[in-house]
Amino acid sequence: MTVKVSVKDESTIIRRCLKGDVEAYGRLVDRYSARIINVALMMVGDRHEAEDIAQDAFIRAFRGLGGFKGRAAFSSWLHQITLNLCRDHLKRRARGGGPVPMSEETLEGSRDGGQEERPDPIVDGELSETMREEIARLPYLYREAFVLRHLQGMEYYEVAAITRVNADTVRVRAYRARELLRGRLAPAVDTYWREKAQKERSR
Amino acid sequence: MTPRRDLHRAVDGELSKQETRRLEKDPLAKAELDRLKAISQAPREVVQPVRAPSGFKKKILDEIRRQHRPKA
Repeated sequence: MTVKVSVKDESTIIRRCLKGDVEAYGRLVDRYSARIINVALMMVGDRHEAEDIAQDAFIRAFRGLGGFKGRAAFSSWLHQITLNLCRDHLKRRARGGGPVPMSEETLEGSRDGGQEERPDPIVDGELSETMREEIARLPYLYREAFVLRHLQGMEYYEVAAITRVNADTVRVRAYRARELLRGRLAPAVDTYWREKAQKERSR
Repeated sequence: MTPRRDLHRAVDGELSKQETRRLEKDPLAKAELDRLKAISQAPREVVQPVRAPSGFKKKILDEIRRQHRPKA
C-alpha cells in the first residue's frame, strides 16, 4: 500500500514521532515499506531476509529520528540505513561461506567480468525472475547504483547522496552495471524490446 | 564508431539533440542504444515488485513500543 505523504507532512509526522507518537510513524511505514523491501530484496536476493532487513531499517530509523537533521529527505536517509544493513548482512553471509564477494576490489568488479556464456532466458514470465537473478549477480556497488537508478527511478544526484559518493562515480557504476547486464541479458531483452515495439505499433 | 560512454549518456538523456541524432544515424550505434535502453527500462517494467507482508507495519510498531516502554 502506498500512502501519499508530502515532505511537509513528513516533517510534521517526524515531530510527532519525536514526542513518542508511534502511531504517526505508521504513516511513514505505509508509505515506504514496499519500496524498502524491494530495494533490500534486489540487494540480498531473498524475500524473507529482505523483509527482516526492511523491518530493522524502520526500527533503526525511528530510534535515530532524534539525530535526523532533515538536511536530506527522510526517504534518502531510510534508503541509506537499508543499504548499510544489506551490506552488513551480505558481509555476514559471506563470512558464513556464502558466495558473495565483499572486498573493495570485488565490490567494484571488473569491466569485463561475468560475461560468460549463459543459456538464453525465455521471454515471458521467466524474464522477471531471470532479471532479478542477473541483477543479484552484479558486483555490490554496481547493483546498488543500478537498483536505485533504474528500479527506484532516482536521479544520479539522489543516488550519490544516499551512497555518499559523487554523482560521476554513481554514473560510472550504473554504466558498468548496464554493460554487464547487456552481456548477460541481451538476447532476452532484444526479444522483449521487439515485442514491446510491435505491441505499441499495433495499438 | 560511437564511444560507449556516449551511448550511456544517450540512455540517460544527457546527450544534446544534435549528438543523439548523429548517433542514431549509425545503424549499429542505434541498435546498441536500443539494447542499452531496454536493459535500463525493462527491469522496471518486467520485475514484479513485492508487497509488504500482512502485519508488517504492526510488527514494526509493536517492536518500537516494546523498546520504548518505560522500565518498571
